[in-house]
Amino acid sequence: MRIPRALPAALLVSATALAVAACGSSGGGSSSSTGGSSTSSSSSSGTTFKGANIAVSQGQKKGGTLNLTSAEGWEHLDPGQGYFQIDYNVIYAVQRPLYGNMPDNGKKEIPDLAAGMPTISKDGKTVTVHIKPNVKWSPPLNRTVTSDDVKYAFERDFNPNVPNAYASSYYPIVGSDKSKGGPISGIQTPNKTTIVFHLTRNFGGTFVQSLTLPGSAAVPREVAASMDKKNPTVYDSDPTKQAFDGPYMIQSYNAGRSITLVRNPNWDSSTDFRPAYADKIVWKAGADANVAARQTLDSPDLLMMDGPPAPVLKTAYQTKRSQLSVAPLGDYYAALNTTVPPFNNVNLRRAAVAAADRQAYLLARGGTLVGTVATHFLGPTDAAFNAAGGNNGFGFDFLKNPNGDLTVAKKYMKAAGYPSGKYTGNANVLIVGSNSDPGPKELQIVQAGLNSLGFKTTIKAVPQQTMYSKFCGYVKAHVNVCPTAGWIPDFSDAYAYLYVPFNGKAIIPVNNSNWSVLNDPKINAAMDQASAITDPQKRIQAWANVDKMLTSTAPAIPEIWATNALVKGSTVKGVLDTWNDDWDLSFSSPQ
Amino acid sequence: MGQYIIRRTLWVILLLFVVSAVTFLIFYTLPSADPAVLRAGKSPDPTLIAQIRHTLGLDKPVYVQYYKYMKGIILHFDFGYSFQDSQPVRKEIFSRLPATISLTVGAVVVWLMIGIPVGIISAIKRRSVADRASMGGALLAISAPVYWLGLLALYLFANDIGLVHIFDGSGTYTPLSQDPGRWFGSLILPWFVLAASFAAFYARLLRANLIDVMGEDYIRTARAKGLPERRVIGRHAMRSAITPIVTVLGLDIGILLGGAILTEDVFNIPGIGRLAYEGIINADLPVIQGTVLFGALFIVVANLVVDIAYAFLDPRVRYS
Repeated sequence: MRIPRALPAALLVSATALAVAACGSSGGGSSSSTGGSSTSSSSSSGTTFKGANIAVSQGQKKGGTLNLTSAEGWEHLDPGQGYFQIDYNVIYAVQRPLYGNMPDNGKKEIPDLAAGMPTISKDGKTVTVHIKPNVKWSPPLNRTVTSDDVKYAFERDFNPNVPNAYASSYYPIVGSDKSKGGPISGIQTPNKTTIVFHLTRNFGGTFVQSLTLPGSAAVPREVAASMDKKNPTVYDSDPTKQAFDGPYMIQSYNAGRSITLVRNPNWDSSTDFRPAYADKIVWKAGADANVAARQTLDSPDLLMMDGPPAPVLKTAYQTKRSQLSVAPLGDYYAALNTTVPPFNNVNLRRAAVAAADRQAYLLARGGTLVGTVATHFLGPTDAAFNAAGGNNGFGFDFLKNPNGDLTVAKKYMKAAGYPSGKYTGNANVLIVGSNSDPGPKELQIVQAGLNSLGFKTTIKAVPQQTMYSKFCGYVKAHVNVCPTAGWIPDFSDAYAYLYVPFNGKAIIPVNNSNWSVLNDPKINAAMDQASAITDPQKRIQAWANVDKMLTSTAPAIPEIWATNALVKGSTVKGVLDTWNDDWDLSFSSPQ
Repeated sequence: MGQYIIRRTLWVILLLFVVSAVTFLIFYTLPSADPAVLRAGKSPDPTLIAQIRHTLGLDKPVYVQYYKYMKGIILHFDFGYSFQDSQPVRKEIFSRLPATISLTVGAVVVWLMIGIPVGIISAIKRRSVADRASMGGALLAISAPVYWLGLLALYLFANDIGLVHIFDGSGTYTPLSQDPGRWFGSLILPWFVLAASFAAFYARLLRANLIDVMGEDYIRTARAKGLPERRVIGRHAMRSAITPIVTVLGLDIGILLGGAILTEDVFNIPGIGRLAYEGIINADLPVIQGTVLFGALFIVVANLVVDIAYAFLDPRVRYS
């Protein structure tokens, strides 16, 4: 999923990351958690951050206008194309995927358009979903939402005219690989309220979780089909013309500037878990981030939908903590290319990890308020985090010291065939990172660690988009280290956390997000097995084991588990959607 | 004069072609993000990227893409669709043009109303306290970055985050057609912020020109004829001293109509400058092309108007 700042998918960049060093301590091994009535981020040094009340229930009242601001504008307000954090905010308010999450529990799916939890066949290859019979489309369509609308949504997801970013990763539906937008043989609708998905492999347990994504939200064929014939589709060119089955509908839209949502008169609250407090939602985008953040903090009723810049964040932390929310977001790590020398040698990778000063990464990003030092790859938002050792990880010696440990590093250098503990090979290590802060600092940190082991290094700082499209995401570029890579899971499951960045099957020549180019058959198989498990506890353990295998293989230097900061007005009731890590429009209220 | 205008118009068209070609070339030759990859999102199937590349016409040779693009503009005035949000670029530019025109025209009025009197007074009262104070202030205004000045103005005077709540702040822009009163109120701060450095520059330029002109023989003759000083300055000196101002003014208006990026950003005015900025950070070629072409068009047309205006301002200029 993309987060604000118009960056490539999977990219994890927090505006908070710039300069809040003064806010946090330098203690490592810290932890963060969300939930309850406030945001907490605690560290081993004992500092505990109590921020804004972000709970689902804050005594909200129905009515009024919810006012929102942001620096970023929207990209694709189309459930098939949307793949950006702030697009999701709107889409989830106006459309209904089959399943959803309560804002405070991204780890548990609950039925949205679906009438109940799905039936998964024993072989995990058939998933049957019944949808609610009494959900209606907004005017002027006014008819009942049917299973054919859901079917068409999936047909769109595989329609080249509707570029969907994740369908090929999460929807292994029989026949979808040959689909060009028409019927998919693996989707059947025996009646108006039932849809059956036939999958190519035992994937039911994971598939159900991915049905929380907007790609599963129904789309009426008669409204969208003619627009989808255009290449690319124009279904999102004027989103006011779409059909809506969520609590709100889009009344007006000015691309990049403003959007107004009003109540969908055909929405029946008894069919939905969303309370939809506000009568109207007015969102003005395109603001200067500094100004918008200050306006939000000085206002009673504004919610800022993207992160405040570091100076304002610092002010908020010092003077207006009750208006500041900090919640876990995803991972940052330095990917080590496992296919080319020198890091095609596992012990050299472990040495590189051991030599890295991960504490310095944290400080470069802004200190404990913006994250904690990572010890493995599954982050605190994942259900398997604790099973994977939580903050302490698996206890591998090369990850024990967050400040780096040259003794351990040299042990692995020797194991790799370098008895002096220094690299004496010919490989020149190419390190490519973002040229925007804190990218250059991270380049220097990783360079310092590698130089201490005798590696010759070349660093290249390029614009973030170029880093992904021309270097780190371009397999043939053979970049050795990508130290400014980051990942946010698309939904709250370890599959979404680990599959794309670390499974060999996910490697693609261009726009590759497996930056380590890791293709370990054992890990691939373990992921396949884990993704097929439907029992939650067994699934958690299986993914924790995958994480352990990964961490042991050292395809990357885990840097930090990042957090995302948001600010709100003094009296507005802002409810944080912990999964999307942004204010939830249907739960927040102006009063 | 007619022939001159036709000749210049042809040059304008040629120049716009060159500008569009150079923009295209820069976009394709310098390292940048691949629009198809950006559009495709996370970990798409390579065939999807290929499809998108085909959809956007990026799989064609650059000259073919350029030809199709220019054909669309010339035949249909179609600037294509934004890669980023699928909006028609023409619609985006035209919907943002009124905001940019509002900002530019108001700022021009402000800086001329401040810059010209200050320049004249400084020139007439040379080395006086008023001259030194105004020229010192002008130096400050020229040195102050617009972005900083905008933030300062908001933090001091905006009615939401300002120390003193006087003027409408950021994000309050209202179209003139919707509410003239709110339109005017929302633009007061942006006008003054944008005009500050221009007013200072114009004041200094006019002062220097006027001092030069006041030493000319014909000014001495005018005075010797017994003309009142106001007439000497207003009728004789200013007509000559204002010519370079008109030249610069034309170019400045053209540039600003192409977008006052920083001012529009700080005050969240949905103008062409912001559109251009967003196009650049998103590697959105149709938006970049569209805004650059419009910017170039404004500049060359303004330049043409200035050249024609010379004929009326300066009796020595005659076109054939």
